[in-house]
This record gives sequence, structure tokens and C-alpha cells, in this order.
Amino acid sequence: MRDPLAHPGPLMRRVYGYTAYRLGDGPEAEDAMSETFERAIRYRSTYDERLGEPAVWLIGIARRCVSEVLAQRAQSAGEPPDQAAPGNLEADAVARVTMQDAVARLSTRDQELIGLRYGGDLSARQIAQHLGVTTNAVEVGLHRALGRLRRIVTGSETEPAGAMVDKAL
Amino acid sequence: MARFWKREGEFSELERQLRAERPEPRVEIMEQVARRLRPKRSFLAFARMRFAIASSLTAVTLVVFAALGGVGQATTLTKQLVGISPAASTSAAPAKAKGTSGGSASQPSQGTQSSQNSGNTGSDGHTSKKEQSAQNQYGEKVTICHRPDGNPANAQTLRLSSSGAANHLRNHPLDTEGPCP
Repeated sequence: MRDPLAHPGPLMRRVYGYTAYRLGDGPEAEDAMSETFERAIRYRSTYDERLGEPAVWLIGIARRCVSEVLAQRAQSAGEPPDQAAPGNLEADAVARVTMQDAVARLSTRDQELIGLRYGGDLSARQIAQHLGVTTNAVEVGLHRALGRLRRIVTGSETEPAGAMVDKAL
Repeated sequence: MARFWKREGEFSELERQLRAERPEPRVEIMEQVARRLRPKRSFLAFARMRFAIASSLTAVTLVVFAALGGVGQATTLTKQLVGISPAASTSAAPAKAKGTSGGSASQPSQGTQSSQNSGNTGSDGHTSKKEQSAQNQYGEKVTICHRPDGNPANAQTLRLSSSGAANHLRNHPLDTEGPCP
């Protein structure tokens, strides 16, 4: 049986990309990634390569970890969430924070789609398998999410964060 | 539905930006996770090596064991060391007959020598267990009274194989079947 964690470097980047798009770049995303790999190590013997490549399997675990973090956030809503330190003020970092801020203003469903597609680097078909919908529904949802994201980035979006209703799916 | 993706350039810049600015994990975190992955792999390698060593040792042991006689020989030797049971003495008789380790208990295989120890044959005609074993192994013994040609008074009772007894009776006219009076 192939070891799903034989080449962890690229897998870690994809898992972290997803968790960071969902939770924000910082300690929470790092914890979620670490927890994902902890569980992957524990259950690596149950990995079945017929059901998908290792990244797809890991993203599935990461989705559960992210859901748990979000549930904890909801429970402790009074406390301010951990935010990533802004770090240096180089242009790349500023742009990254800006894009992440824009993603954070999307609805939960849009964040999920953006995180899976551009953070986890999954195909529309793989996302459809995760979400239990058709590939076309994923493509339409992503298209609309990108439209909303562009409006936020260009400043034409006036709705407050989290107020948008996802009509894609 | 595919037309959403066929519109070239509609979101390409945004998609490129999303991919390019994808958050990257810190190097320390990646090393930390990688360290946790490493022991498992080394454990698997160690387990494989351990299995290979165990297999090799087992194979070597089997080869040596087979070369030295296997289970039957080991059982026989063990029984000889621990204590000879009646069944074991029966099975061990051939080895003793060849090796003469039994001393006075052994009988000559060709029957050409007399049993100097008439104690093996009791005065009442009973034979010991070792003699029974030899008889079982080499056939029925025949008792004759051997009288040397030059000294007929020095008669000796011999227990020989049937062929040995026949030779005696043919070559020594004074020899008779049965024990000496």
C-alpha cells in the first residue's frame, strides 16, 4: 500500500493553504494543519488510494478540523479571535493580507469553495466529491464566489463581512 | 455550464492572484510536522529489518537442526539423557549395538563372538530387556553348546544367530544344539 504521507512538503502547503483561507493566516490555521497531520498519521493505514489522491484525503480531514475550530469560535464568540501578526511591510505580505481579508468577507460557503480550489488546489470534480454536489454546481458556485470576491477587492462591494447570502449552491 | 469557465480572462487575474498569494506555512511548523512523520517511517523500517533478521535466524536454525538429525534425533537423545523408558530403549538399540556403548549388554552383530557374560542369559533361560531388543533387531538367537575340537571338556554355551549356529554345527562335530549340560 502506498504511504499517503511519503512526500509531506507539498501536502502541507496545500492543507495550510486551505486552512488559512478558511481561518485566516496564523496560529489557528497552523494548529488546524498540525491536527490534520496528527490524524493522518493516526489513520494512515486506513488510506485507500482508490478513493483519491493523498491531498484529497488530507483536505477531507482538514475540513473536519476547520469545522471544529469554527465551532469553538462560535462558542467563544465574545473573545477576539487570534489574528496573524502582520509581519513585515513588504508589498507581497500586504497584498496577501488584503486578499485574505477579502476572502474573509465572503460567506462561509464561498470561503469553502475558494479555500478548496485555490488553497487546497483541488479540481472542481474533487471539490464536488467532498461537498456531495455535482461538478457543475461547484463550477457555478466558484464563478459566483469569484465575482463577489472581485467586487470586494475592487471596492464595489458594500455589504458587511459575513452578510452576503450564498446563492450559488 | 461550461461556459462559465470558457470566458477567458474573466477571473484569470483574480485566480492567478489567489494562487500566488496562497498563504504558506512557516518553515518551523513544517519541520515540526515533518518530525512527527519521521519516527513512524523509521519505525516501519525498523520493523522490516527486525522481521528480516528474525526470518534469517529461523532459517539458519532450521537448517542446522535438520543437519543434526531433526526432531527424531533430538527426541532420542533427550530421552537417553533424561532416562531410558522401555520404548526408548527399544528404539535406541541399534545405536547401542553399533557404538558398543552398552558394554556387556551388547551382542555381536555377526554372532561370531561368544557372549562371555553368561549373566545376560539367566540360568532359568530368561533374557534381559537388552537381549530382547537385540533379538528384535537382528532376529532369533540360537543356543548351542560349543566344544572346542582340541579341548572338548571346555564346553561353552553360546547364543548365536541362526547362520552362526549352523556354521558351528557344521565345522565342529562335537557342538550340539541347546545349552551345555
